[in-house]
Amino acid sequence: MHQDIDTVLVKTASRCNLNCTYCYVYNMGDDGWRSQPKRMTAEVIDAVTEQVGRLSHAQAHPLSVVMHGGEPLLLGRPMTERLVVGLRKSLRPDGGIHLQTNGVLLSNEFLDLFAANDVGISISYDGPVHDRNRVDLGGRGSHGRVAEAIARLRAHPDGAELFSGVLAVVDPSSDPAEVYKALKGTGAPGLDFLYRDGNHDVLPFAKTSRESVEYGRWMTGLADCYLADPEPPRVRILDDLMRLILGGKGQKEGVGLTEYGIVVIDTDGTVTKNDTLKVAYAGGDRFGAPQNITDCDLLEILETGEFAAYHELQEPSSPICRACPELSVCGGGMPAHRWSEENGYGNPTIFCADQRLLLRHLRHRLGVLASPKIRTVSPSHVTSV
Amino acid sequence: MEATKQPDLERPETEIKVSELDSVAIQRLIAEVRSEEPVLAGGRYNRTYNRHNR
Repeated sequence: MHQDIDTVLVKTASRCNLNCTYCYVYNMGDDGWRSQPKRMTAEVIDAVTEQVGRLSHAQAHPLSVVMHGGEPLLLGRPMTERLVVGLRKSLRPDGGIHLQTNGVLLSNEFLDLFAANDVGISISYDGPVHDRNRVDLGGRGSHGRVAEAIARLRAHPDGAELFSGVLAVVDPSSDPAEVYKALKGTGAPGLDFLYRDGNHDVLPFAKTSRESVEYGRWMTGLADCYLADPEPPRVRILDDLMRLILGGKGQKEGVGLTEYGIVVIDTDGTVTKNDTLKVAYAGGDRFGAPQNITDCDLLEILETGEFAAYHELQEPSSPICRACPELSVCGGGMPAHRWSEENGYGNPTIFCADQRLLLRHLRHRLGVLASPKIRTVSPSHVTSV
Repeated sequence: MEATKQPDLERPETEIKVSELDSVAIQRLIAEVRSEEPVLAGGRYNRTYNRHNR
């Protein structure tokens, strides 16, 4: 039996109405999107709803479907309705449906559809530095349009339930306090932060060497703002790391050692690995023997040796990681960030020094010291005085 | 071995004294770890199993 799937990412549209400079889909060397249809067809949508619904009933715990792209709303409202209504019928009742969008096309018509079908919405938004990178195809910043979309979402009668969070990409040259304030100001219940992508062969933006800590320093600044806030929203990445330090569990890939099952269905129906593997090398997210959701059994794909090998990538193989006292919290980072042509995925994350700095800072703030023997504390060690 | 030089790290001094941690975010996390259940702040993002980091 395969690992349970947590997240099915559905690439409803292969193109985007923005051209963000840091995008791993379009601007990191992979051009697989060029050979994809622009939008998912009815045939593929129906196969997705049928097969993912069947998968959700076949496994022990629930899964979530995330509409993703490109820009997923480019699918258009009628076909998006076909997808979400179909999924609501086919998924088990505790299954989640989410949308990760740049927000530009988030109309009231879409919001009504999502409210009627229990779809959580996360908007990509970089706050005061948004327009540095999140530009449209003409090079114009998208901040104003995204801010309007957030206002529209909040003004919707079901806005509080619909609005899941905002997702920002770290710019180490920005002020974390300003970014935190702006993202909190959106009213989102949850904030999350991503590092700029890169690997050992192509250093991430603003990182001057493997040992440099530009991202770690920025994140410690963010953590200080978060921990000092008397009315904080959730900051998912920091919550995950601190929960792991405290002996709890993380909730997202890329931290901790919990295994997550993630599978992607591309716009033409091809089943692929985690799309973030594009960051390692062009086509890094593709299986050697591609199969399509319209003419194969998704459950059988998940049973293949190739899927198992992909799944095992999550656990870091580098001897440095295996011996690291922070392994159970850090988890070795995202596999794509471990990549080098020379060692494959057998390196620590390119953000290793950043993570060590951040974890040292969080441990200090939590009063939980790292030890080669005691890496976390159990819940019973958390006591009131 | 480094660990033998720091025996204090292996004793319950690693306990977290809540009164020293006045951060709302930390208090919230401690409550979660105690209950072994994530506390939801609102919205739907954390209610279900979206694990994808994008």
